[in-house]
Parts: sequence; C-alpha cells; structure tokens
Amino acid sequence: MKIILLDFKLFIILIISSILLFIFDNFGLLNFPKSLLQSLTIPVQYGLYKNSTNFKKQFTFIIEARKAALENNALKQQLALISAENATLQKKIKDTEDLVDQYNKLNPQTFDLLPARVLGVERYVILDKGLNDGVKESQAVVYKDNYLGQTKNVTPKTSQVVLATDPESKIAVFSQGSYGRAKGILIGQFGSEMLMDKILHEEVVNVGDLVYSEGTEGKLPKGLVMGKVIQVMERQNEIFKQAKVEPIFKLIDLDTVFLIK
Amino acid sequence: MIPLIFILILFSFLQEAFLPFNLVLLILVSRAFVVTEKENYYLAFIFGLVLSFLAGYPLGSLSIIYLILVLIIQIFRRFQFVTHPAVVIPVAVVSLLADQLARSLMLGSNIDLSQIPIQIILVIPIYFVVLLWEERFIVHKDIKLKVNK
Repeated sequence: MKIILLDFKLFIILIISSILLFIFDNFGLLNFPKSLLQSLTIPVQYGLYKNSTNFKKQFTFIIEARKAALENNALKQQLALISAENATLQKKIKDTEDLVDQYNKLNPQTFDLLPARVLGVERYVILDKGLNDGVKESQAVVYKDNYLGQTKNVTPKTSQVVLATDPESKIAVFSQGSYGRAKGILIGQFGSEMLMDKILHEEVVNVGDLVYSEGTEGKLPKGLVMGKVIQVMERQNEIFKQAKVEPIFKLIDLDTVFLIK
Repeated sequence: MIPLIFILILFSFLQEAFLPFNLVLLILVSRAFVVTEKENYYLAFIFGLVLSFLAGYPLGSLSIIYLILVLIIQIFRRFQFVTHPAVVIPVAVVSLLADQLARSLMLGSNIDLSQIPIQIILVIPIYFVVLLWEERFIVHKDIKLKVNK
C-alpha cells in the first residue's frame, strides 16, 4: 500500500510538471530551450525523413517496375490476341470480297458456287471441300470467270483438282480477238503453259487473244476464261496451227477458289 | 534501463520521421503491463516530452496522456484476472484509442484509426520482447522476507 501511495505521489508530481510545461509552452516561455534543442534534433529528423523518402521512392520504383512488367506482359498477350483476331477478320474480309467478286462475275442464279480453300499444290491441287459438301468429280474450279481446273478423286472432306495446265486436261476452247475467232482444243503442258491445238489455218488467232471454254464438256459452262495467247505456231505443211496459252491466274497465288456445282 | 531508453529514443525519431505506428506508446503499454514500477511513470513523462517536442505539439501534452494511461494500466494490472498475456491486446487497443481521442481533444489533430489494426498485431511481439528483456536481462532486487523475531 505504501508503494502504491509513493507511486501515486510520483504520478501526481509528474502530471503537475507536465501541466506546468504545457502551460509554459503555450505562453511561449520554453521557446528558447526548444530552439536550442531543435538545432540538434532537426538535422537528425531531416536525415531520417530524407532517407525514408528515398527508401520509399526506391521501393515504389521496384513495385512500379514489377507492375509495369506485368502490365507489359498482359498488353503483349492482348496485342497478340488482337493481332490474331485482326488476321482472322482480314481473312474473312478477303473471303467475303472474293465471294462478292465471284458472284459479280458469275451470276449466282445461273451458277451454284461453293467456296473452297486451297490446302496444297502439287501436281494436283487439294481443296478443303469434298463429298460431304456435295462436291463431285469433274466439277469446274473457277476464280472470278477464269477456269482453273476440274475436280478428280473426291474424298469426304477433300478433293483434288486437275489444273488446266496438266497434260490430263483437254478442253474444247475458242479464242476471241479483235480480228476474229478460232476454235481448238486446249491441252495442258507440264509447266505453266497450255497448248491450243487443232486450230484451222483459216481461223484467226493472235497473241494477246483471250481463250474461252466452249462448254461442250458436261459440267463446264461456256465462256470461262482459259488464258491468254502468248505465241502462235503456224507451219504451212501442217493442217492445223497451234498457239501457246498462258493462264491469267496462278492457283498458287489464290487462297479461295469456287466450285461450280 | 539504458538500452530501453536508447531504443525508445530511436523509435521516437523513427516514428516522427516516417513510421506510421506509435511504437513508443506500445512499448510503454507493454512495459507497464509486464512490470509495475515507478520507472514506468518516468518513461511515460520523458518520452511524452520527447514525442511532443519532435512532433511539434505543446510540451507536456503527450506526457499527460501517457502518464494517465500508465497509471490506469498499473492499477488494472493488480487484478488477478489480467495476468494472461492476451489481455495486452485489448489494453493496447484501449490505449491507442484513448491516445487518439486525447490528441484530438487536446491538440485538435484528426483521429486516424487506419493504423490501429497493424499496431494491435505489433503489440504482441513487442509485449513478448519486453517480457523477455525484463525477465532475463534485468537484475531485480532480491525479495527480502520479513521475519518476526
């Protein structure tokens, strides 16, 4: 009990001292000793504050850098997704444009067209449409109003196309130029050229004339562009003359082609 | 006692420079909870003055608050049911709230309760460090029993 009373006495003394200091300080009586002490403590306080600020800045920089790196990764992923989406959209736009173009060239009311993608080009071109899509053998493959080839070996999901430049391909054609018209048979040659054969001497064919399909083959319509005459070969002692024909479009440059059903 | 004073001075500077916690008050509360000595009043008075001086408050203002808190804790400590170390948590909460309230009433500063949860977590290690220090590193006077002859 004595100890408690002694402690309480000390408490009262200290409280009174505190109150007196509070009053004196409020009246500005302690300004001088305070300013003396402050000349010692302020540099320490400033140094601590400055160091803590620098530390905070460094720490904030690390956090910000980490956040920026994460954000950068997220943005890169987003950009990759957007690029992929853009590529898909571009592809769709191109397909749509091709389709519109194709329908403008060949009347969809006359021709039932089936768009197909080129999967590979070897001797025969492989398309991504087959029996499941209603593709049959000997269907004409066109791009705009240009003949490219006809289907062969149709599987449920793919089909092969015999190009007009393939030696297997023999099609009745006619050439049309400003000086006249000539009939013949267009035979594929290995390479990128075709030979228009069996042209009568009296018929007129010139370099630059366009060659069209005759339409005598079952599924091949008349008037499809087969190519352009690049050379005329004429010998007097032969019954027929010949002309070298070059296709206007190369299939390797095309993504989407159309099958005439 | 000297190391404790040194640590309290260091913490006073740190908390006035950048630390958002009232570490000095937490140490004073923990010590008052661990040992019931008159030195607690001296520490409360001196470090109340130091903090008032460093923070730019009128001298003596924080001493009054800390002295009253230490007195209440020391009286409260005498009850048997407060011997459990977990009691230091509500004691610290009440002390921190009382400190904030007294500062706002006496000095007109805003009450900031955002840092109180962290300080409540901090008081637990502080309490155990003070307990370890006082029990293991401070030499106390031998208890002399009075023998009636």
